[in-house]
Amino acid sequence: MSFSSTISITARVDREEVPAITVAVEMAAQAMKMAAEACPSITLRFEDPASPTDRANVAHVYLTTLLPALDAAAGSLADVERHWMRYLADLGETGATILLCNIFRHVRDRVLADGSAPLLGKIRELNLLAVTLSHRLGIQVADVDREMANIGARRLLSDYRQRSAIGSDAAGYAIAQCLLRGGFDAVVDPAILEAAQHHLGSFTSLPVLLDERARQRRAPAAAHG
Amino acid sequence: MRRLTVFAKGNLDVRDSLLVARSGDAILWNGINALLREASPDTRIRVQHETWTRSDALLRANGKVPADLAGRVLPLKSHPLETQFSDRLFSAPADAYILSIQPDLNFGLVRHRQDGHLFHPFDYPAWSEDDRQWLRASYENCAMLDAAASMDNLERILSRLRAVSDAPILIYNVSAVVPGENIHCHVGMEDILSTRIRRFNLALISLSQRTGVAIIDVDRLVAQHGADRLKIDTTHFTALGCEVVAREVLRTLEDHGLLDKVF
Repeated sequence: MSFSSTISITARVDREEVPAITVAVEMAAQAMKMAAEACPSITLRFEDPASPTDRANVAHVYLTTLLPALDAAAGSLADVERHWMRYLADLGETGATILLCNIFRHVRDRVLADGSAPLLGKIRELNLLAVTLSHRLGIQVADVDREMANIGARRLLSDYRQRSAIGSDAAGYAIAQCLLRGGFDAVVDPAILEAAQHHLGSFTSLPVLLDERARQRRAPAAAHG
Repeated sequence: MRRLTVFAKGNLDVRDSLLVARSGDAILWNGINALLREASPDTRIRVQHETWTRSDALLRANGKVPADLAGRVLPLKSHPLETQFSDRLFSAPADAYILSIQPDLNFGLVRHRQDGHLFHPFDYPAWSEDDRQWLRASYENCAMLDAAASMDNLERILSRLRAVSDAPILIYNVSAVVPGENIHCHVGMEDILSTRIRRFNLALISLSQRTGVAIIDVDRLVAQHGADRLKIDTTHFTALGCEVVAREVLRTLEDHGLLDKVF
């Protein structure tokens, strides 16, 4: 079996998620580099999720996200499900691997006086929808929600929008894990992927990784006074 | 001193956060009154706690242990026969009632082959061979509850409770962060625990919208503070987890007018 020397990723995601996707690709590339000198390189480009798929420029992997569905005009959950089934099935016709990011279940200041949180409820519905879509279409789910919930919104300084650097790091880690555990199966030697997963680290090592990346971000700032 | 009575029907999630959490002989968390002592020194909460096997078993319970079981001494530990067949929830006077979806999520029961009563053979592997043979001969396995059946049962429990009391009813949900579960493609894994928890939590929101029951949103609290700090495993809390959840219970009791402003 021959493997690609370059992996192309097209991210059709919300603007807020661009930093996390960038981090994810950087982490996955670094882990593969540590696994093997002669590993494939990764190219990443972004497409507007609302635009038609560019069939002349099909990627190996499509990164998609349910976040735009939160802001979409209200429809029934069945309508939302039909839309996503169509959208992802259409993307799947390209033959590419599809990753779907779910949404961190933390909403700041959105709890109503009666204790209910409609936006949080919608996030929960969409996260269950991600699982359903994976059941039906065989797509991969990057469990951003689980990874961020493990660390907690307080420490991540982030809600579902991932607006902090550390929040993007945590989400990026979840996506990088998904890339290395299924997203690249069709294009990268399994031995390299296995070693790269080991280098990326396990679930429990994420707090250490986040601290290290925060330290790296502070270091250049300190050097400049 | 003002004293409120809370009747709590549930397992370790409820007991640890409201009453006491221990590790061996060490007390990790000394219950909801540890918060009240500081926030509202003139008020105490008396927690009456009973373990719970499942909603369908509670609906059938009438306070009497079936004759076939009553004659046996089984090592049921935290799930003795008296609480498995107790219907005290529907008769114990209380200022608030606290339940949890955890039993319906996690517990498998067996059904008696003759009279159909439901029973939880807690710690079955530790039983004597004689008791295990008796169990296999007398009972058949009973399917796990799905979210719809569980909520249907809970709605019936709430109706029975409402018929005898207007006191607030609070229900704990469960955090969907399951340690060790790291799945990306869900084909063929339709009922893994995290998905099951997500289904139950969503169904509980619908139940709350229909009935007005208050949810103690453990899932939201864990996402806010971090599962690595609040949880030991899927349903058990750390000391900090107990404190955060107990604080949320107090806040909810305060919203229902049972407590003066405590936070």
